[in-house]
Amino acid sequence: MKHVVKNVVKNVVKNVEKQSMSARSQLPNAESRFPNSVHHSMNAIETHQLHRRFRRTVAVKALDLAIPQGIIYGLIGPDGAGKTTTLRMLAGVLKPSSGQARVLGQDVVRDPEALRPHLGYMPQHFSLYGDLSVLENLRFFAEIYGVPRKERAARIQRLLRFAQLEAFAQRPAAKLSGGMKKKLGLACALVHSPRILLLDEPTNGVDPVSRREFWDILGELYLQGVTILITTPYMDEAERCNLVGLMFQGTIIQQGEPEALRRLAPGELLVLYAPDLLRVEQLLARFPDILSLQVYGDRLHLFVADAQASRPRLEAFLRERGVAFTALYQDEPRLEEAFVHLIRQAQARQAAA
Amino acid sequence: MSIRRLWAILRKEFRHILRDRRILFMVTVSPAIMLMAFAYVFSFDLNPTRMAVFDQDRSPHSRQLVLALSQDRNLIPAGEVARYPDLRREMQAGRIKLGLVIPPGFGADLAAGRQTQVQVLGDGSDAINTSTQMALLARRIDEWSQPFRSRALPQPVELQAETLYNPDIKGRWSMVPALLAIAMILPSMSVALALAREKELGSFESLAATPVQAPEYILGKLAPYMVFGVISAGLAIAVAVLWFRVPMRGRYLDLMGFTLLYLWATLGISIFVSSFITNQSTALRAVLLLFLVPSFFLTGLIIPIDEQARLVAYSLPATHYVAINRAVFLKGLSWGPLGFHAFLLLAMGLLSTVLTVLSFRKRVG
Ligand SMILES: Nc1ncnc2c1ncn2[C@@H]1O[C@H](COP(=O)(O)OP(=O)(O)OP(=O)(O)O)[C@@H](O)[C@H]1O
Ligand SMILES: Nc1ncnc2c1ncn2[C@@H]1O[C@H](COP(=O)(O)OP(=O)(O)OP(=O)(O)O)[C@@H](O)[C@H]1O
Ligand SMILES: [Mg+2]
Ligand SMILES: [Mg+2]
Repeated sequence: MKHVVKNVVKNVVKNVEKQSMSARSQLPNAESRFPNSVHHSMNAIETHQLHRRFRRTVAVKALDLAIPQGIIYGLIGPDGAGKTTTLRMLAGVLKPSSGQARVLGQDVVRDPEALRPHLGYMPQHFSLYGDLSVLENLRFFAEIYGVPRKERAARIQRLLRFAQLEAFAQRPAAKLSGGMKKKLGLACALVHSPRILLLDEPTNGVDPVSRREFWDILGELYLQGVTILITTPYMDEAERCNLVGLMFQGTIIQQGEPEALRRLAPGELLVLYAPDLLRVEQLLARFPDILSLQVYGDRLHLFVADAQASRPRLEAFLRERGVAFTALYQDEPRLEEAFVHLIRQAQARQAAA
Repeated sequence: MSIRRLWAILRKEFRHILRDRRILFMVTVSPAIMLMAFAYVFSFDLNPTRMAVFDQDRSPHSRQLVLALSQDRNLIPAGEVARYPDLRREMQAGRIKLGLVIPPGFGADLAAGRQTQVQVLGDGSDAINTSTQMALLARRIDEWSQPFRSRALPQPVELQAETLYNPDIKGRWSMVPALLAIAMILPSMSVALALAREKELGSFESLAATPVQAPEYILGKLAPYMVFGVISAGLAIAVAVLWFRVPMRGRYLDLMGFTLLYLWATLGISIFVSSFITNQSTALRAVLLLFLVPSFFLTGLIIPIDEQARLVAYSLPATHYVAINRAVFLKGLSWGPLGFHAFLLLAMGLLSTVLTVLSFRKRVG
């Protein structure tokens, strides 16, 4: 048993570490996706019909979450979907309008204090003390959490190394670069070795190298059995999660493993590079095969039922109209395409209703 | 309540204060500077004043005079006293600002066409108002005595004015101790800003998710500002005594004790109010509206306390601190006679702190 779990862990770590932009990995079976949860039947996070409204806005609506222990759960969704509001309620710093929420078995609506010693929460916006140094911020949170004096220094040193902030220990937090601030925020949220981590866009505005370092840290925490709920605007990060929930207008409209979600993209993907994208986009409205069309900077992503069949037809269609294009090839749909598609679908459904 | 967490918050707060020059300025020297500025610009005004009468004559004439004066809108009759020392005692206690002494034989002298006298006592610790009121009183008495006037008797009633506590009626002597109440509002402005800043910058959200408890957080904010409040009060008192040469007839230790109570009351109320506010500009406005504006007009600082607004006045910490400071500086009073004011300040500090702890929520929005 132990051996199996170890193997699976390796597998997931590989998953975590890989830069899964377009690579499709072998899907482990459902049980083995969540190695840490094998030993626990209890979910780390459970919500039931969670609601939160702000005057006229309904930020979170009838949210039912069930997040197993020991996984990395990625909460994605467009701006204003209600991700931050959800995390705040789970962290016990915002009262739901109605509904229930349990984190590590504790009712965070009625008694958020019981959870606090086990919770690490990193709010969306920089929320440390800019006038205190890196070290002072860490010490402050260590003291607030009651980290034993004997362990304090060693643990802070380890976190500094972990976050690669050793050289900046004496620098006021306000004078760190954006990425360093985020890493300090994570270090402060980890100082008491929490069992559950709620991270609200922890890598937003962080460069790709730092982001990878950040995810290395999350991978290590994952191995230690920490449950992580993370929101992110980056789909490559979402693909590193064990489970992804897509939030739209306050509720989860799709949930699944990244690979499963990726397959919700409408059909197969053709990528088209062309100098005059605008014109091509207009023309393609009259091309019958296209199920969905997304613009990505200098290229178009076209979804068709059968890429093999559509590609020659599309080439002919464009040549006939004298449209220049530099490349047209089939590619694996990424989570990003599925995300855009699903959100558009939801928007269209809503507009129709 | 954990001492370790309280200590962590305390250290953090002290660092915030010591590292931000603007905050440090605000909680140390700015009250002294404000006191200087206001002491030079305060203005004069007049309002109804309580007057008691010691009528030793009890003749129809003396009755008439008292009745005539009681019609004056500027004077509030505060009854009669039976002995001269009672008049002084009432004034010492601050229950009256003016006293009228009518000597025996007052009526008989007037009836016989002889010149007579009255004595007017004024409370010099409330200098501006008292001096104006005494001048007005002299005119009223003069007017009242017109019917007795003749060529041989140009001034039937001679007025003997005596000002207690501040005989030269030095406006500054009475204003400077009172203005301390205004200057010492600055620390509570700083604490309100500190609470709002923590929410505005977002660090409160991190803190709210930790096991920190309301009493630790509240005391951790309150205590550093009390410490700096006392330091800045010391500087402001030094300005009052060394620069404005206000006589200090009471004890410094008493004054510091009263100051501590005043700081607790104002900081406590500030913290209570700003615990419901999430941004600095609103917090600043709230403190200005709550303390600064009413403190100028309702606390007896410039104009005496309006009878109708007495309840409002008494609910303002500055009302008590103004009364206390004038009494300690100029009358040399101590805890005994000022117990009432001290008790109300203590009650405000205690109540606001308890209410804040009870109503405090570790929540954003
Ligand atoms: N304190 C608040 N007062 C009023 N409305 C709020 C408040 N907080 C959030 N909202 C509203 O609730 C909705 C959800 O906001 P929330 O911040 O949870 O979204 P989000 O998914 O985190 O968005 P983003 O990706 O931009 O951070 C939005 O419409 C937002 O304007
Ligand atoms: N006000 C400041 N005082 C001292 N050092 C600073 C200050 N601002 C930035 N630095 C330092 O200068 C370096 C560059 O910082 P800067 O914020 O420009 O980086 P950046 O490229 O924007 O990084 P990021 O992508 O993390 O935002 C960093 O080492 C940072 O700590
Ligand atoms: Mg958000
Ligand atoms: Mg930057």
